[in-house]
Amino acid sequence: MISLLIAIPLLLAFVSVMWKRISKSLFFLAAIVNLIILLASWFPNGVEIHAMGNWKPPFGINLVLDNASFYAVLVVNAFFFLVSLMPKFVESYGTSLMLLMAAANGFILTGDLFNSFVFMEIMTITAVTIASKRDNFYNAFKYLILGGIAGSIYLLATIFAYTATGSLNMAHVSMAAISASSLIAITTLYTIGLGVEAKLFPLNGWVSGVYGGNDLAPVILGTSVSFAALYMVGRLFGTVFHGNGAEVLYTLALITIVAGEVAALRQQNILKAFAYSSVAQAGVVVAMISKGTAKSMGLAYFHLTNDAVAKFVIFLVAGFLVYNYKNLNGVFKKHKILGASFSMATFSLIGFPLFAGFQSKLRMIMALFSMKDFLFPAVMLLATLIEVGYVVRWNVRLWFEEETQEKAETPVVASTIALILAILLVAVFLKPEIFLNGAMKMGNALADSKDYIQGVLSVVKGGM
Amino acid sequence: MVYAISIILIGIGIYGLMTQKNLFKHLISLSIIDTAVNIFIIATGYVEGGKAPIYTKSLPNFAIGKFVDPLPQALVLTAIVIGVGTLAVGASLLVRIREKHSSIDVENMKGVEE
Repeated sequence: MISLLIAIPLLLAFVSVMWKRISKSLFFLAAIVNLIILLASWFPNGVEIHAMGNWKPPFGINLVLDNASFYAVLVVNAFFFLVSLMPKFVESYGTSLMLLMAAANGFILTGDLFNSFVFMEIMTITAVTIASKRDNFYNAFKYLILGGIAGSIYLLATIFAYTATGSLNMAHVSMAAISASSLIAITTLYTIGLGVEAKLFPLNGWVSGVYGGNDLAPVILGTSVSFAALYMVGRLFGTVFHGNGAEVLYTLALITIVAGEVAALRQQNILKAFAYSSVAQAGVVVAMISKGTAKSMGLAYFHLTNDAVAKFVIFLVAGFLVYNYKNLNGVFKKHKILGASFSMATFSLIGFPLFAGFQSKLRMIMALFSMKDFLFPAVMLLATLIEVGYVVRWNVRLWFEEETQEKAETPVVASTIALILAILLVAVFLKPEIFLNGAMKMGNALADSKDYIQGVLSVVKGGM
Repeated sequence: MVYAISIILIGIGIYGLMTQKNLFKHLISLSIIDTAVNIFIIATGYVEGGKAPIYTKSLPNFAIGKFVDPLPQALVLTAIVIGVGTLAVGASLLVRIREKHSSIDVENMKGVEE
């Protein structure tokens, strides 16, 4: 069944090339069918594999559905579904979005290192076409070049893993004894290869240009694609390489947090400011993943889910404002619902009590103290201080400054979605289990490589 | 020896990316890096004096050390196709950059917002 998650959007993407006019409806169809398939296979609580062409692992390519990949695929597809509800927003990008959906699902589900490289490249190419909306060609080109180099390095790392272990299957590689020097080479190369999509420090130069260039790119790349990339960081460094090479990730992530927040504070463009904030949050998540225990990884993905929901609202509202008003001063006086959801999402970003961000930040800091790590909480608190600075500044400017312009038409569907998600953030504060249970299951599945190896190499359920 | 060639080519590609101002040359550099990685992959599967991995009368059994590894070759085929896709997207973007900013040289481009 799970291979349908990749096959349906891929098939409909090709169909939509011939019927451009109905590409939006096809995108909606693909998103809703995928969600139904996922709801039918709710948290498998074990490892289900689907061996393509009935080749028994470790031979051939297999798709793996365990609690970790299920939660990631669920979050990714939910965001695609939300985007597909807004046809005005999708415009003529239905085909690209469907391809991106197929690639993101495949990237998460695959149990094969080379296959994940292929899906990552498809993801980069389709993300570039989405980034080039509204004539944002130069920034999209920069993203393509960086993404291309990252792809090459990722491929090189895959080949190093192949020569060291003689296998490309993740479970098999995870089982093999790799010499220390090979491990250093492989993990370093994977850090660079994933660093571009995961927005790690020296490799995130593309983020502000791509997220700041149009309204569609940040909403989908900042939520779904980031989640897919950060899932892969957890899968590779947690399950496959058992936490080797995590020190490099940890250091880079801490630098990413500080650099991202400082850049966000200085930014005058609202989309770019929150693009940098998304970089900083990715840093928090990667640093938390690099701690390597089941609990820390679960909390990392809990925080990532909260952040992705908040960022979806922020980018949705900010994208609407930037392309309908020349001067943003006081626009929320005209759009109270959009304004309220934006403020709620930004406060959740800081980690203000009453919103989801508070639950995840508090839990992360407590978990880190119990691990005797004091540097990362200090960095996180410093980052929160900077966040308060720019969040309050943007809220004051958008709510209270003198308004100058005529009112633009309010997007009904977008403001409803933004409001529902903002209320969801409050609900998560009151009842964190909504996200926390799934995220903790994901963390346990990622940390438990024994279960993963056994599940993949013993269970055989062929074909579809 | 073959490894050295691929490492030198990666170096050339990175040098091109860092020094050139023409965006088309960036695309070429990317392509060079792709090729270098492909050469590296092929080299890892090479066996001195090895034959093509096909069962024939002279090689009826699977004999380690007499066949070259077929897997890297299959991987490279896929990687080449992906490289061509990237190149095509990049070239089409360059056409639009030229239309919008009237040049593909970083120093002469007009109206660029980073």
